[in-house]
Amino acid sequence: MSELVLETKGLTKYYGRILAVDHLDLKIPKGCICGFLGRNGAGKTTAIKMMLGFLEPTAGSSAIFGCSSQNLTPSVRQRIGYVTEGHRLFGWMSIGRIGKFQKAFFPEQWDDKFFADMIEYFGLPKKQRVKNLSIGQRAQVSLALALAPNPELLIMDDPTQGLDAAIRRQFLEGMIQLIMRQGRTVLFSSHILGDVERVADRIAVIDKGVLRASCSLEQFQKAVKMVRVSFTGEMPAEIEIEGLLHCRRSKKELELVLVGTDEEKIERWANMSKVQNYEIVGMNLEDQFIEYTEPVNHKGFQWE
Amino acid sequence: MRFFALIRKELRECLPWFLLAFAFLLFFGSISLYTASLRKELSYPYISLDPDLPRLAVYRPLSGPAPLLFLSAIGLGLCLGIRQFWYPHFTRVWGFELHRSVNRLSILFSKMIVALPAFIFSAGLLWYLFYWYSGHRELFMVSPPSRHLIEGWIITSLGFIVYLGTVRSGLSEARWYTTKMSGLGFSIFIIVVVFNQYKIGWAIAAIIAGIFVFMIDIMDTFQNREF
Amino acid sequence: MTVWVQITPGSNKPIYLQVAGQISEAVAKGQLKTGDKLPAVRKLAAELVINPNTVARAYTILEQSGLVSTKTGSGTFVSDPKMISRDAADINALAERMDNVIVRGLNLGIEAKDLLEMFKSRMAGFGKKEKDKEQER
Repeated sequence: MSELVLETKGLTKYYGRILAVDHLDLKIPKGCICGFLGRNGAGKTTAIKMMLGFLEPTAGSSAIFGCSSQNLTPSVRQRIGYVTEGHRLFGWMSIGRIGKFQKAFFPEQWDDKFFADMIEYFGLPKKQRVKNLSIGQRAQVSLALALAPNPELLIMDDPTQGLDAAIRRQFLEGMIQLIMRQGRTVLFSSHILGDVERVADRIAVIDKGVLRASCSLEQFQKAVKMVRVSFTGEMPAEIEIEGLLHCRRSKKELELVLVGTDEEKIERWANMSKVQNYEIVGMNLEDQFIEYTEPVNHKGFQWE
Repeated sequence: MRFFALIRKELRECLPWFLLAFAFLLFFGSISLYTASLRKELSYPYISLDPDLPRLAVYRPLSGPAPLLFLSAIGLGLCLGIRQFWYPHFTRVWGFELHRSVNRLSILFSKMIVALPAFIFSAGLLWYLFYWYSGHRELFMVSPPSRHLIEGWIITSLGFIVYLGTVRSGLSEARWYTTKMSGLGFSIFIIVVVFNQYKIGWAIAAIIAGIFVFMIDIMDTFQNREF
Repeated sequence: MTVWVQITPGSNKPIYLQVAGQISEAVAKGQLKTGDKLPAVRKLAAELVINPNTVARAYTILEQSGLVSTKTGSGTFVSDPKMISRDAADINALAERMDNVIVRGLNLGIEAKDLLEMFKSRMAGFGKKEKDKEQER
């Protein structure tokens, strides 16, 4: 396995009796764009805050570039770009000023021209104060501030929430540009699965604090399948097939959602169960994610 | 370079409050001193006939500005503490502030290093100017004793104690109706202790002890708090 | 500009398959001729705003099917169709796919001759390649 940029081991967080993050074992290899997916309140922001040392875990550990998250040294922090949820910045500073502020912390890495070019490309006036910017414009400044130091690891917490399609596209372009440089990694949490599908090559799915999947996007897309089945005679009362997640019945058909079941096994089951016809229905990432995180009786499946 | 960037930022954020406190104390303190200097009958020492009071009572020129100094110092302490440690919470910028390539304590110290001179210049220096002004024999019959200068500086440092209390309360994660305000509560306790001292030495000792306790607690909280 | 590749996120087809599929189609339609160089992985990724690994995956699939070949240092080029090695298994797989389509059509109640007409009209859409071949002779 290639070098790990970020690794958590049994990362757990309790807020009183509420379990926000449950023994997270996340491994992010260098060079990937990892989409961190989860429903609202699933534990994404809590996990990210623990990874960056802003929250103390109840149990477990996390490390970035081999350095413990609870004791991130200044030199390690210098390699990490962070875009906070809501793109909160100092309201009283002008764009030019906040650029200078950020620059002071990355003396060797900061690319002045890149920052200036980005701000110009976004059409933002340098003298404008941050508090007078719309959320979209603030997001653009936030992106420029995070990319100009050319970070090795870029962590973004729901960066495109509430932004229009054009600005969302700019964020994706920024991520792609960054990843094309040698040895860069991106971790971003998002609800917009179309965006994740475009740029991510790895995904991590967290549901109610539990890491339900951590694999390449391709593996996930291949693994979650929907099969429509029709029977000649009566439908069997119990469906037994490996990897069954959900089973929905209508009058004539069964709709099965399977995880990790290969086509051979489906065919074998179909033959055994005297199925009239079955069809593996195509699903997009959003459908797959929704099906995968719907409550179910048994725990999810993890594989690398 | 990084530390200077932090200091510059803190300075710019706190400057309005310095200037406000300075202007307030200068304006009202000056008026107080000036009107006192005009009322000649107060400028003379008087003999007290009351057997319970000391025989020779002396008017204190600085007793006008003294409460203003107290107000100004406390106000400055509250405003700076809130601006530096409560405001980032409400505007949710702690994440942006703290993800910096510096030690976390450096961020704390950059804030305090800017707050401390605020008291020295906005309050301490002005008090000295009032003291010096009221020492002019043409204005007042009796100059204020040097003890009053020290007392003024003690009041100024009580403002700093309130600042530390505001900082501690701002960093507390408890709910406001439980122990969140205990920082400020401790400040009030120190103030009460100091005002009850007759000997200046004990007052200064109380302040030093208070600052010491606060600093240890604040440094520990800032390192370990969840942001 | 690579107008012949457009991706649709949110469709049932994974993006790498969309890219591979559209390049295959472009080759079949003659928009990409033998010896044409495919855009560099990074260039296409930046243009489509997708992960470069996704583009690389698509190119790998095309290479495995023999449609393109990569020369290290130079790039990825469309292969000569005559050079593509097809074995009996490939032909059988293709025949099976044709069978599936025929079964579908017949099950929908379409008559055999209508089905053939449909096939011909679809082929016309790829007609450019036929014309090119005629011109080559």
